[in-house]
Amino acid sequence: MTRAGEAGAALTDGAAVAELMRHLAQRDGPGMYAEMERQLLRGEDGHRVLHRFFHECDLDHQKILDLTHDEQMIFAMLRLVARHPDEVASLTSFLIRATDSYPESFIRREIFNFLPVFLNHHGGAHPELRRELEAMIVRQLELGGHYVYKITLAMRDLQFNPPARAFLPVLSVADRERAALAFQALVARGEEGRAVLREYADTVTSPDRGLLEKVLRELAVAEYRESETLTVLDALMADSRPEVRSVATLLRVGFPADGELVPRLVEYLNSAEALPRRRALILRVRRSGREELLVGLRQAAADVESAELRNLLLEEK
Amino acid sequence: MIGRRVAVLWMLALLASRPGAPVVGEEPGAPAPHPTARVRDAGMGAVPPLVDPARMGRIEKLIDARDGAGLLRELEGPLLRGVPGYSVLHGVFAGLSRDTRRWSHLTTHYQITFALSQLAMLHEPETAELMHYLFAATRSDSRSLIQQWLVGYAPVFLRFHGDRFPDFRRDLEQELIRRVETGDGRLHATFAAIRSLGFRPPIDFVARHLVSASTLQRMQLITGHLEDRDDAEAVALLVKTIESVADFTAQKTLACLRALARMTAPEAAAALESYLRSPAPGAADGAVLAFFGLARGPESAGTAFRYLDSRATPAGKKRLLGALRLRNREVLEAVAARVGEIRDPETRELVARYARAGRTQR
Repeated sequence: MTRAGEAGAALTDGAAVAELMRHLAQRDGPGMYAEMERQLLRGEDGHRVLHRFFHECDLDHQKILDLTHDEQMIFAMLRLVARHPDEVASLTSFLIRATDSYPESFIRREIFNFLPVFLNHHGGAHPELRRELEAMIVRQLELGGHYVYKITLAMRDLQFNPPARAFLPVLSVADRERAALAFQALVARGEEGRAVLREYADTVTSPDRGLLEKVLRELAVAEYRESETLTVLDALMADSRPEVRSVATLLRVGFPADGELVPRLVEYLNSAEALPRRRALILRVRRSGREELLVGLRQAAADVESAELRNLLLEEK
Repeated sequence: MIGRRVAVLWMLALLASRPGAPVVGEEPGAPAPHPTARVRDAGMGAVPPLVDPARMGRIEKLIDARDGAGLLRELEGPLLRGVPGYSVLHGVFAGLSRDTRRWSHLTTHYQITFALSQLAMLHEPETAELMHYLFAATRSDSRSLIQQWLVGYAPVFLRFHGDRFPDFRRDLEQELIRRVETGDGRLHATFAAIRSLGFRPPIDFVARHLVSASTLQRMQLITGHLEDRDDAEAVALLVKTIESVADFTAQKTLACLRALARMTAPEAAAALESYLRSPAPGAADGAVLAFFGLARGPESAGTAFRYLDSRATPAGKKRLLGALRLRNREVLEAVAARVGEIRDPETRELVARYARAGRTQR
């Protein structure tokens, strides 16, 4: 849903929103507390007003930053939380539903920030809200994992472990930082997480090369540690996706090799892969310190079709 | 990012909720039902901190377990017992302040600070009394962690409550004045407290300290305070300081010009404009840099153009163009669009070069 669409669905009392905006502009803590309390105690009608206020602040992003960083604004909202915990729980539930199809909403970010602390403090007082938050976490991951760091903190505080597969969509988002955090969360999940990483490696169509390398390295290291085999890398070296094949081949040289690896590396050097990447393979072999691999490749240098690569391979330095 | 989370919650430290707990106290601005004078009458700080090893042991376990709700229950009893209870809590906090790890958890761990906020916001008059009590008891030790904690939090609490706790507010103001006078405590924390409290010390006091300020940090903290005041009186002091220093390359003058540039009072804009147009050596150099130290709209291009088309030194023009490239690309573009109107060919070349570099940086 668009931002404008979301706002449209939620709005009724413009005058109250204007009043809240005025208190925000003036950093008027008592005024903000009084108006928010009035809306909070009205039930759903008031919740809609507060949602609209938060949403409009989000649209004018500096305002939501002011609201969540200014001392007097924070004081006012926390006082509300302290004095009306049940009503705040209802409002939070409303906000979770109201922002359900808008994962980038800053309101959701603040819910991930605040709600686990609130729920832990109140023990088992709000079981339904806890379930809503858990479902929200899974949903947020399915929608691409906006605020994934906050999500992981919320999971930790709630001691909630959604199925590792929930992180799979986040690995494929363009936001590298988000994908990297999802990767770390999956690594921390051990075997269950690696199964998801394997699924990612097997299905990704246009991967981020850096992330793919981290994923394959994690899978290879874990496999080698357990069984001294490298079936994942060996299989992906013959993958139909060039990017996957390239990353797997470059990684493979960092692991112990037998005689069968050399012909596969020569095959890579003769492939249609971009020249810089084929050069990178030779440089990586030289840097790997695996003397037997370098010697084997040099012995097979005559099979390398590119004169430039052949020379690079045979260079002493 | 954890730091951000803590930052949101830290200020709750020392401050409310168990579901259904009774709300004690009045709304902000109403007179306190328990004037803090009660603490003073009981001889603030005269009662030594009471050490209760059994309680201390329980509290340490609760902190180690990050059990905020349990800690709230443990502290609530003494908080509601008046001065004898404050003495107990003083003992608790004093003991914890000698334990770096637990003190850090007490004052920064979000589950703990949340619990303390809940406690304090449900029992505001008692919290004000307790803070006032602790404030008095630790006043003689500017290195006290309890004192630092209070100076960080109490101003926010007191500002929210307006005139509700006048005795405590007055004592805190006096302490802040004393700290500025003596240099005790961390100066940055002192000015942050002045800002949080919305405290306006007498302007003569500020003037005296601006005159005597010899370090850049002190100058910037005082001019920052004048920025917060943002009124004719503050502008007058800044102008007076600039005139008395009479050196537009001095750090103090530049700090005053930057403060004028950030203020919204009409007197500030007028004062800065007068320096922008001043024929005094160096005046326009400092003023124009201060003015474009903030993001301005393209409507300010005339100000930049006038300076660049003046007899200012090439070094000054380069400094301005660098500042425009950093924060005011639109202004730089607007000036570049009129580059042919600049009379000096070297300046024309400079403007064109900086504008090209600005476009490349995008």
